[in-house]
Amino acid sequence: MGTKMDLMSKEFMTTLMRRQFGLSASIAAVFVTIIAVVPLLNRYLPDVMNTEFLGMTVSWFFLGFAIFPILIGLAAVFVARSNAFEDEAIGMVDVATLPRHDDTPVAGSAGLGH
Amino acid sequence: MGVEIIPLLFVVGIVIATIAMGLWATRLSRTTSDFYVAGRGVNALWNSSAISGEYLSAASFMGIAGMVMKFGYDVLWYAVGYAAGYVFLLLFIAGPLRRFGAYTIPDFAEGRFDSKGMRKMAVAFALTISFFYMMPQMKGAGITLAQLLGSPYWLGVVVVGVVITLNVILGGMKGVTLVQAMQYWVKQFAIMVPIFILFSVTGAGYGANVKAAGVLNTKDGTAITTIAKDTPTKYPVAGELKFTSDGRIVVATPTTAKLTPAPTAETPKPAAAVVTLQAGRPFSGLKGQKLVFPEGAQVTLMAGMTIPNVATGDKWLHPFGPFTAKYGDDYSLLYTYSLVIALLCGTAGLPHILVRFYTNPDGREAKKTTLMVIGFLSLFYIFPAMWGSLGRNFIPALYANGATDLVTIRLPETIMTALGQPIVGQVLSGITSAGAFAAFMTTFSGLLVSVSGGFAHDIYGRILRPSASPESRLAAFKIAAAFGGAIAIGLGLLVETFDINMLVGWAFAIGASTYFPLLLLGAWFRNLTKAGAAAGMISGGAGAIASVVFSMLVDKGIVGAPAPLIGALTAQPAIWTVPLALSLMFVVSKLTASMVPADADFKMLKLHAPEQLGLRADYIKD
Repeated sequence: MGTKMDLMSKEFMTTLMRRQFGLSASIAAVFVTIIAVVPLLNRYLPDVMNTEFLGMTVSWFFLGFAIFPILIGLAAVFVARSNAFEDEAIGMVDVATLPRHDDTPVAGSAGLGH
Repeated sequence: MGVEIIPLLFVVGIVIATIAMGLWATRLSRTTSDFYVAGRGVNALWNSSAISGEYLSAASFMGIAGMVMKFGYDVLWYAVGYAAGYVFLLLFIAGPLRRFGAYTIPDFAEGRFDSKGMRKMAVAFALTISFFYMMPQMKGAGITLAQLLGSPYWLGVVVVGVVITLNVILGGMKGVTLVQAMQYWVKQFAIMVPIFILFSVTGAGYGANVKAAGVLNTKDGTAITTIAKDTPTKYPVAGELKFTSDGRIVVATPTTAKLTPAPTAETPKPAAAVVTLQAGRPFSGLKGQKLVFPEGAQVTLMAGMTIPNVATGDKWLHPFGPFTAKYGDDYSLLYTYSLVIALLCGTAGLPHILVRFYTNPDGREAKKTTLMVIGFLSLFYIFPAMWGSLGRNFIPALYANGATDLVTIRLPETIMTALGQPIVGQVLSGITSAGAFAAFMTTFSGLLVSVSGGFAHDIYGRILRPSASPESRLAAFKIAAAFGGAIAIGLGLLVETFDINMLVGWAFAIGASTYFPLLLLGAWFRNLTKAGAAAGMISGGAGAIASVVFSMLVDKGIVGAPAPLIGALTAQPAIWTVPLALSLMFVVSKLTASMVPADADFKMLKLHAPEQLGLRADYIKD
């Protein structure tokens, strides 16, 4: 890794946002394409989409079952990559530029799980 | 119909359990911060259960199944869209929103633009969306209790309204988080377990049922069953009877109705005429015709007639059926896309869901929570369509009086009684009734917390009396909850004649056209100005609300039906209101570039920087 960036620098803010947005936008593109293509296939390839499959039709099976694991998979890929990038981003910052907190943060009152 | 004892016991049980959990949680709820956001210490499993519990409303538990039964394939989009909306929320909104450190969207609006005016506008939209979304919950409670008790509609509305309002006043958010989380699991159990039992006892699975439903009422397939005995039906909603085969009906008192003759080659769209049905004289020869009754009409469907209002199997099974092709087949694709846009973007516009993201300790937990929510909702949303398919085959009588919304409640009892197991049937119907009550109660309480928080935190604490002490804010929260609950009950009493899913669809469309653009561009477009954000929200919101009101008036026959294209674009406005709001935000911001906040760079950093970098500063302090 090269020189560290100042936390408050425009350079760091731009890098952070550009990388995160690139990740979000690329997964959104896959997601929107999958969703948007289904009505078009229904309209223009009805013979394929209306073929019987497991009792229902291909199209029914897709919206009724198959799409859900796809949603979960895309979401899981995003969370993993986004967190990995955040770890990387923390390392890009010059530690000397981090703000110092003397007060402790609002104490989480341990939630419900205890 | 008399009182159904066993299902009623289940409902009473879930209501009492809700109150008890709320009271118990009160003891854990000590401070203002506890009350609003559960001390920010709710872990991802609890929080994602609570978000799912809060989100799965009457529309999800009853509405989708009922609409799948009625319209078929096209309604699967609702199940997909309700779950998939969280993907947008995850990709663009969940993390930044949590990191910005605001409690409500109005906090975000003020903090992002340093503008009190933006706070007021955001509060106004939050209240609008919340009250729109409360109405269908009240409607669901009213009709379900009416079904179980034979009670009047208002009783269910008042019972659920009062119970939840008290619970919110006593327990606050922390109580609610616990209750919501538990009730996700109640709903998941109630939608899943009975349907597996029904598949097993009837010997036909999901696929077999879809297949059978898909040939029902077609030329080559099975005919829809006939009405077994004379069935008196009251039409609370302006009732419509479409006769696919011959029908015979009789009325008890002279009744005027609008009769649309069967279409012919010469007149594909015949005009309706007003006819008067004489009391006691059977009216027959109705094949292909449509009768629309006024509210309150008492009509008896006579034994041996074919059940009316049933879509033919091929239209039910395949895309672009009676739902999306309502305004003609030319616009069914447009209608589908517009519906999907409203659902995908509208999730990010629901104030009671967004507020939950602040209960995460940090942005990373917020993302994890959203991922888990997507998992939970995916598991839930495969089931409603199963209920709809089974309902079409086993309980077609619901078509006749437009009561398909009750399919999850009625189906187990109907099937098991036919198999000689009425008690088992009542127990299973009890489970689904409890699930339905869990659905109204959780969603309503979430909305009520969000409305009361809006009054106490945004209007009282930030606008009216910024110097108010935490104690007086808490008191304001409780008073606001009492008023909010009363308003919701009042609104609920007005909407008996409206369709559950119609009301939910409106709330989604308004959210998609206002909050979604604000949050998306607010988090990612540095040069967004308050003028731009305001222009987008006002025009998107006004477009959506005007469309909604217009199609409501058309639906009630107060305004004449518009051209099909206009009809489709107002019934599902998101396809034009969302791009309108987004593009106005962009263009107006470019024109008012001097209004970009001076510390916009810092704001963007705060939205996106991981918490470890130490930029965190929460708005809510004890």
